[in-house]
Amino acid sequence: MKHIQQPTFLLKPGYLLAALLVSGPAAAVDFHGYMRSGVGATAGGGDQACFQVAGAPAKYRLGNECETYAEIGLGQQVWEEGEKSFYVDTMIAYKSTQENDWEGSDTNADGNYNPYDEAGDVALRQFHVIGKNLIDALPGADIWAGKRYYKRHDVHINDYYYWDVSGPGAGIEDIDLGFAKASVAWMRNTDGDWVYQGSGTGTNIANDTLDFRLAEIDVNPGGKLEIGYDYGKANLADFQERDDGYEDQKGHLVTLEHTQGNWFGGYNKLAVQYGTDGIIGSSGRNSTGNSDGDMLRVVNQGVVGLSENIEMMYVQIYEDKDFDNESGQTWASFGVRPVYKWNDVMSTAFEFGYDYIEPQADDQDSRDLKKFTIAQQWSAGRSFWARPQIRVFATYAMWDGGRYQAASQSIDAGDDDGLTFGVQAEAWW
Amino acid sequence: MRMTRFTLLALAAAVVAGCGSEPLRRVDALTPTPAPLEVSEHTARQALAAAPICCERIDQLPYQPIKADFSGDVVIDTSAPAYAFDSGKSFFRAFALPVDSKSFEIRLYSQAGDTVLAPSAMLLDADFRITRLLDADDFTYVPASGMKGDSLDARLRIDRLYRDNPNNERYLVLFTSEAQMDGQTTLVHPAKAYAEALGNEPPAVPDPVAQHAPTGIIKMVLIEDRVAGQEANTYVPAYSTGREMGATLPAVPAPSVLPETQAYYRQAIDAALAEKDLERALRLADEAARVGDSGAKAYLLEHIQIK
Repeated sequence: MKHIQQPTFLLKPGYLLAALLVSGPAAAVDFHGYMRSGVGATAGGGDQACFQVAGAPAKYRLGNECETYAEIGLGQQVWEEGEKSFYVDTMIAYKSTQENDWEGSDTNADGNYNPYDEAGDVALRQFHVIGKNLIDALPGADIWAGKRYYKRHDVHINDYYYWDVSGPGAGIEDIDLGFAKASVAWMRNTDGDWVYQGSGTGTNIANDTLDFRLAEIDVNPGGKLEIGYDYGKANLADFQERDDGYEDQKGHLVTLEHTQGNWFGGYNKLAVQYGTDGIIGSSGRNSTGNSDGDMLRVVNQGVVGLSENIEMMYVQIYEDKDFDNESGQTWASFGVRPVYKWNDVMSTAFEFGYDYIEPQADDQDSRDLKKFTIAQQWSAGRSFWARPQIRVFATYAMWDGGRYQAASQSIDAGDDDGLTFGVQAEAWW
Repeated sequence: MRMTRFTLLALAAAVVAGCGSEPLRRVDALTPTPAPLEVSEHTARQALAAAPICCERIDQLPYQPIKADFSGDVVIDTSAPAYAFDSGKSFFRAFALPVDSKSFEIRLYSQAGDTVLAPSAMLLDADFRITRLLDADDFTYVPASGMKGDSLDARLRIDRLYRDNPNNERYLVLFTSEAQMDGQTTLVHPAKAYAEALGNEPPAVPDPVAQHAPTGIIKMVLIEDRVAGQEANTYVPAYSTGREMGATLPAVPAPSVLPETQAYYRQAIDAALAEKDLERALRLADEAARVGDSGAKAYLLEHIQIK
């Protein structure tokens, strides 16, 4: 309300009132969310098959997702006084097998029902409160508690989360140390399939993860480093401690991640992780059932602009899990998704993904999978990240059919390739 | 049968179009916005310097009437008219707002890409007096979300509770200021927006910057009130003088004087002067002025002989 030609008008009550009616877009409920859904089929007949090499933690996702998945997140700043504020964040996730109209999460009592009517799931994923700037000694830092997606690191094109300790927890984040932002958190996860070894009734094993991070350390022009340390262990009750037959497990995970901005019109992210014992096999959470061992994981990914009209995402993954009981494996993965933009709303995407699994045990064969997808896409904008997007796709996958079945359905055991096509929508906001 | 089906279909379409779309307008993420204007900042600045000034006064701007259901793109490019605003020369688009509507909300989204027009929004009443001027403090950056692109957004409410209130805001001018053209807006990197939408840790990459430019494209959406209580009615204040809250009465041109009347007053002034009754002559000149003969006083002054 500055620079008024005839400012005396503003002093009159009617104009003051009118000036107060200007409302900013702030203060509204933040509506975040994600969804993917669609319909597809397999060449030769049957529902759309999705392809993943046996034992691989991820699969390349373009034209290779067979379920409907949605997240609805509602958040709001509920209180503010000066720099201090409270933010309440919530998220519920939905997943279904994408087979029917009605996909509930209930189980019908009568026997006369369609099992695909109850192929839906609802999950509580986030309900937490963040208190911002509440501690005067730590300006800029937030304290928080509740269920939360905690600083998850992912690879978009194969939906792979390599550093994810999300769950119920509490912590302090973004403590400004000058050279870095420090965060500390206590997170919880529970092993569901634990079997009580001795006498007595079983109960859940609560695992704790203590997560320490130093983020946004400037190391080179446009480059930032993040250092993380996770310590996971089982938090045993007295009677669990007394169970001689049961051995709990703990583990350490160190993560180093370098992010390079201004990288060929995009960015590159390189993460190196080393983990031991209980923390192997997951993305930072402890697992009490693990054997001893160690793990090395390297994830290199990025999005680059190859020209005015071509953007490409790429990823290389190498993961070596070495268990004392020979149950480990080596996973190598490589994927690219170049996108050619015809105009502001239409593009053609191509995705190639390769996964290779080499089991640690000598008597098991290695296996691999190649996947090719071509998709014509319509999206709200030109960016690689522009969504919503509707894509018409065809996917071809080939694998060693004699050794395992890579397709989720519709393809006979022993076949070693498959062709699918369909239409899928994806959106986030 | 066929006819019935057609009617039902038409009815369904009307219901969807009439009611279905209205609430959706209120969700920013569902507001499809155009691609940002791709005019280089340098070209735009040169074009602005060379552009002729369209009008001398603010009431002469080309005001384009819009309806209460307006939703469209306001393109402020180098072919837009230019005006010398107090805050500097700028391209602009001017609109005459709906008058016989309910109160409504205007949402403005100035699209940001390599460049962005940092808008000013000027509101004027029926007499072209400025009622409000929204600028950098009122337009805030809102990251891309759903169908909406990166944009500088503002919302304002136009009151039509009393249709005939002379203070009602009637005109809207969208432009930018010289001071704003030197600024820039830091956008959220799309990879970070993706991460935030999914609750992931955003990659630590620098954010793109949109330079403020003289040209741009603004999505404008009008949302009319639907509440029954917002039914427009007629503004009749008790004992109205027509001058409430700074309003002025429309100027009524004085009726022209009959030549006979004019001749009568001049004769009478002559007679009064002849009798050296100056006071009477002055009263006659005043009276003549009141009935609309503005020349009578000049006539008197010409014929006074100062001794």
